[in-house]
Amino acid sequence: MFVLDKNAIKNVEFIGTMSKLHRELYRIIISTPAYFRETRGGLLLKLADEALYEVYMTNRRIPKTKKQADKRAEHLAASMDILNKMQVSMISLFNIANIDDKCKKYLSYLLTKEIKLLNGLKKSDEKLYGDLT
Amino acid sequence: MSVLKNKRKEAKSQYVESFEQLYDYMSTTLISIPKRKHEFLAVPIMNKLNAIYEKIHSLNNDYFQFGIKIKDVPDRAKEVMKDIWSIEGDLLRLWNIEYKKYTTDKMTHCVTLFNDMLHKMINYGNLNI
Repeated sequence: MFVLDKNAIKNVEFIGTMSKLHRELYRIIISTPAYFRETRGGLLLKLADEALYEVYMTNRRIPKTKKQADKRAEHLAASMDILNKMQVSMISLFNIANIDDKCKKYLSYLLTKEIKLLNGLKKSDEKLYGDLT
Repeated sequence: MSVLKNKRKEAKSQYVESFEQLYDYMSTTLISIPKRKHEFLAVPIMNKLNAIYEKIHSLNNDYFQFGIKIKDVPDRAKEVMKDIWSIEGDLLRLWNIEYKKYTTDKMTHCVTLFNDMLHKMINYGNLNI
């Protein structure tokens, strides 16, 4: 088991953004009506939880062997997959729940930024750890 | 015979007591979570802990009262360990949402209790993990 690394949240951008997105989603969905919170909202929170966990696992250790690099790539792929799924649920959140435009923009910005950061990480990982044996 | 029984009681009390410490700690800290967030943050953890509580006590009772076969112990101990591991994600979520409340010290203490429990479970089940 591991603790939440507060230094990583401050210093590692892709973890910090994911952490903000997770907190912001909880803040918004908890204040939505129960009919939404217990259906699509709950689903979206579950996806956000999974994404946060996978992003954390991605950064858990710096790979020194090919096996570790593969594991990191697996977690990275899983987090990107979940974030892409979240886009669909976010559209339904924006359509059904009464959320102000500022929040919508901020959530979209965080989600897009996180996906971009993870894409960048994937490319740099391929360069850095592609040669490991 | 009585000496053996006492030794077994010690072995029993180690992992059960360790779990009870963890259970007490978690239930007292989770109470302080605001009501609106309770359903998302505290309830899933408490549900999992309650399920583990039952499994651990039934494992303990079966072993001492009905004498379950030794070969069954590792499987059941592994099952309990899997359940304990599954709380990791819930804890991460809790700590991220209640970012200000959970200091690194508090989190470390919680993880120590979890690791202690896992360690005793490994010893009890003679698991090669």
